Amino acid sequence: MPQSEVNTTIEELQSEVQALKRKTDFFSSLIDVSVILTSTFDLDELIRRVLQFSQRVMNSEASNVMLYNENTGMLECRVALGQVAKMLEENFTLQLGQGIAGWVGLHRQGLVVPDVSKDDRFFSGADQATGFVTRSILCSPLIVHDKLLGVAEVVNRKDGTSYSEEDLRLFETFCRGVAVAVQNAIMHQRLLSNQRVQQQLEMASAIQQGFLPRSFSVKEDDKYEIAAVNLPASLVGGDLYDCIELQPGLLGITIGDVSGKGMPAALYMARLISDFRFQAHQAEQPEPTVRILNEMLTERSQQGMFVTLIYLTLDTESGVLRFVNGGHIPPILYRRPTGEMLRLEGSKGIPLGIMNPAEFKEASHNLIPGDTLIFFSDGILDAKNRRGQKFTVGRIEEVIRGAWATPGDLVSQIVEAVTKHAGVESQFDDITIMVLTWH
Amino acid sequence: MQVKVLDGNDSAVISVSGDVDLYSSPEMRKAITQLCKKKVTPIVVNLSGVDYMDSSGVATLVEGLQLTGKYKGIFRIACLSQGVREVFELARLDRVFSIFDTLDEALKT
Repeated sequence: MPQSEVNTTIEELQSEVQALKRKTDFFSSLIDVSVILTSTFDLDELIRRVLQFSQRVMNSEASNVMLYNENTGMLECRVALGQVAKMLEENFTLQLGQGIAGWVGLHRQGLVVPDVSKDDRFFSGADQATGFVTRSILCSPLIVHDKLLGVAEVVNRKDGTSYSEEDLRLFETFCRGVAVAVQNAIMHQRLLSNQRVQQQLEMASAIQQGFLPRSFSVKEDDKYEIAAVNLPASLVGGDLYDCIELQPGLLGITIGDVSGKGMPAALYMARLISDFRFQAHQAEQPEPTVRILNEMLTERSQQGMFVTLIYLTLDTESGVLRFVNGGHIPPILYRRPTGEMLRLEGSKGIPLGIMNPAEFKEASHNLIPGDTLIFFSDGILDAKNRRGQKFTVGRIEEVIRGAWATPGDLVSQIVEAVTKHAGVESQFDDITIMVLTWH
Repeated sequence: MQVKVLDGNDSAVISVSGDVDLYSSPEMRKAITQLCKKKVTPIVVNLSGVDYMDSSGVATLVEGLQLTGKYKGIFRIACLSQGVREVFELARLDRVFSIFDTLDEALKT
């Protein structure tokens, strides 16, 4: 073989070896970056590690990642490396379409800019503000499922040469993985944030349950027994019940249901129960208390919120009940000795917090031995089974007619019946049940 | 849920269809509060397309009533389905609102 052909063959082989080496480096880099991408869920730390790696592989002076803020339509510098990193991280933003990064974000395609001074798209504002001199840029969008998360760029090769199309291909491949990792890190942050909200809700739930009496101090020779349960649809809710001693021999008993549910209803309920305890002690009869509560609630009305509420006073010696109903479902009156199932209707007024003045008429009833009053909120009637059928008053009455010894038993049995009816369906509304028996 | 507003020169009709609950009522609230800001009167809410309304939806209508009351405006609701009418009657809200069987009746002064 002539020497010239030998030389050509050696050159070709060397070229192939170089090409193979570049490919090996390419895949080796991808493996390295994939290790980084799974190394942390800390968004800033993840981006920092990827940029450090990219800068080294691309032999570059500086780099940065800008994240896209959907609310403002701006690209905001999240992490930067290099001489002026701190200044960029503090306040560097670009509109989508502005500068090289903005162009890449808008058009969603990577770009090599060998000489920024010859490219009209280049935005020199950052260089003017920081004193940095940008010569060349390699920039790629960060996209996941067609959604723009931001852009990443490396700046100025240290050897003064320009970035190649091969560099762009490698960088874009990095960035596809980076985008997924950034998305995962953002989701992880949201998850942590949701967990914190959940923890706060659990604390709020415990505090709210603390507002409601857990047990009722009934003495052995008392003629009445009372039990209640409150089951919010979510951790907190807008139902309330209370039983306070207004004076020896006179109890104040209430049950209420605030419009809506969740946190707004819970806050409304918290203030209401505090107001109720104060106002109930100011008057011995229910009507003035309800009238004043209505006045206060209407005065501070927010977004039309209101409460349906029954307030009654019970003379624990005579069994005389005096009560006012503000738009609440009338309680069931069960006369156990005769099996009569009645409703304590009275004179039903409108819910509290809607308009003032409003008329609330007091009614009275004499309890006789064996009488049982069952109060409930309408959440119990909203409990649906898998076929969409609601729990009815008739079903409550079936349970009441069954075998039970104490008000606590009856409350538990009604809850059990509702839970059984709903099956796997989630609880839709707050549920409160209160039972009062008279011996 | 869908909310359509027909804003005339001296009256407005808000037609609501679908379920009105905690999650959908803000859309109805937006329509009502926008008209109240302009002190439109009368405002008639047509509920013919609503089969279900929870207490959040009722509260939104209460807010409309309270807001119109501040400028001595008229707030009416019309065409309640049986289910929605029961919700209003159960809580005695039929005493609070001016309720009409037809839109024509609600629009007559």
